[in-house]
Amino acid sequence: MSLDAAELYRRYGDMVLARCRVLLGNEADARDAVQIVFLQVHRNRDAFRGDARPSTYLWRIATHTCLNGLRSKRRRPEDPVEDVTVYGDSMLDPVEVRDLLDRAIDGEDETTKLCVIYHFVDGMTHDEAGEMLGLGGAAVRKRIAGFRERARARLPADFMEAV
Amino acid sequence: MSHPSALALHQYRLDELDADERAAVKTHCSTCERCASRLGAQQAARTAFVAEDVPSAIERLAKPANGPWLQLFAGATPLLALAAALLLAVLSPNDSGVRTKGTLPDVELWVGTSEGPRALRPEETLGEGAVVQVLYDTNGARHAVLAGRDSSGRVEVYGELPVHDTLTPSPFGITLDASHGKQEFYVVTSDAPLTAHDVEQALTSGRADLQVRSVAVQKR
Ligand SMILES: [Zn+2]
Repeated sequence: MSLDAAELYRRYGDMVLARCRVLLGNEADARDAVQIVFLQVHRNRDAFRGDARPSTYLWRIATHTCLNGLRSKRRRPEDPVEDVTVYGDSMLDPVEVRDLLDRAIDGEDETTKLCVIYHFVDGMTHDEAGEMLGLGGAAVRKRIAGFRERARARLPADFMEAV
Repeated sequence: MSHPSALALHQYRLDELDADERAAVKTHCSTCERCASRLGAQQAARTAFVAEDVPSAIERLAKPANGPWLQLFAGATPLLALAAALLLAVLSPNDSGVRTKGTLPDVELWVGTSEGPRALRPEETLGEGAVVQVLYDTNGARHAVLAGRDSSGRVEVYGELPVHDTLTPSPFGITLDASHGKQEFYVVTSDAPLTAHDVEQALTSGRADLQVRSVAVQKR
C-alpha cells in the first residue's frame, strides 16, 4: 500500500477532517490538525507495516493529534461550541463531546482518555476500542468503568446517564 | 448489532470492511434511522471535500522540491509552534530596501529553538538539523514564488506562495542538511503570473519588472 501523503489525503482527508472536527470542536483547529496528521504520516511512512487498514491507522493518528491539540490549547468555558455535527457522525452531540473532552477526561491518563474517546465519542465497542489501543476488550471495560466512577462527580448526572 | 462506530461507517463507505462486517453495517443502517443519517452526513462531507484542493503543504509532500539541500519539513510541532508564536509576536516590518519597481515583499527567516521559534539573528550560523521557516508579506502583489540558492550558486524554484498582506509563514518549514556555506531564500513577486524561468532570470541576470527580496542563512 502506498503511503504517499497526498494520495492518502485524497482518499481519507474527509474522514480525518470529520474526526478532527468532532474532537476539536472548531473548523480552524480541525483543518490545522488534518495537516499535522498527514505530515506525520509522511514523516513516519517507513514505519507503517501494513498490518492495519490505512483508515484505522489514520484514525489512530488523528485521535492522538487531536488529544495533543486539546492539551496545548485549553478551551475556556465561554468559548462558543460550533455545531460540527452538521458534518459529523459522532454518537454524541457537540456540547456533550465538549463536556467529555474539556472537563470529564481531565486528570485521566492518556490510555483512559483514548478509551473514552473511542468508546463514547466514536461509539466503538470495548473490543473495537481495545483493538485501536493494543489492549483487550476487558482492559478497556475496566478503564471505562473507572472513568465513569470518577467522572460522576465532575459531570451533570443527566450527561453520565446519556453515555 | 449496536450502532456501528464512526470509523466503521467510514470503512463501510470506503468499502474496506470484510464481507460479514459489511453485511452487518448494511443491515443495521437499513433499519436504524440515526445511523442512516450519520452515513448520509459522511457522504455529504465527502462530496464537499472532493471539490476542495489538496492543501499545498500536503501536496508538496508528494512532490518534494528537487535538490539535496531542501527537505520538506514534516515535523509538525515546530511548524505549528512557529505559527502559534506568530499570533503572539508583534513583528516590526522590515526597513524598506532598495525598491526597483512596485513594493518589495518583506521577508524574514525564523528558526525553531528549544525555547520556541524566533527570528534569525544577524550573523547567526546554523547547523545540521536546524529548522527554519521563511516568513513573508507580499505587500499587495498578486503572485509570489519562493526560490533558493545554495553556496554552489544553483537556483531552485520551490513553488508558488499564497499572497498575504501580513507577515505569514510559508506553508512549510525547512530542515537544514549537513552541507556548508550560504543558503539564500528569495521571495519574488509580480502582478503577473510567474514561471520558473522568470524567477531564474530575476535571480541571475535581473528582471526590472519583478520584485525580489532575500534572506540568507550561513550553514556551519
Ligand atoms: Zn444505529
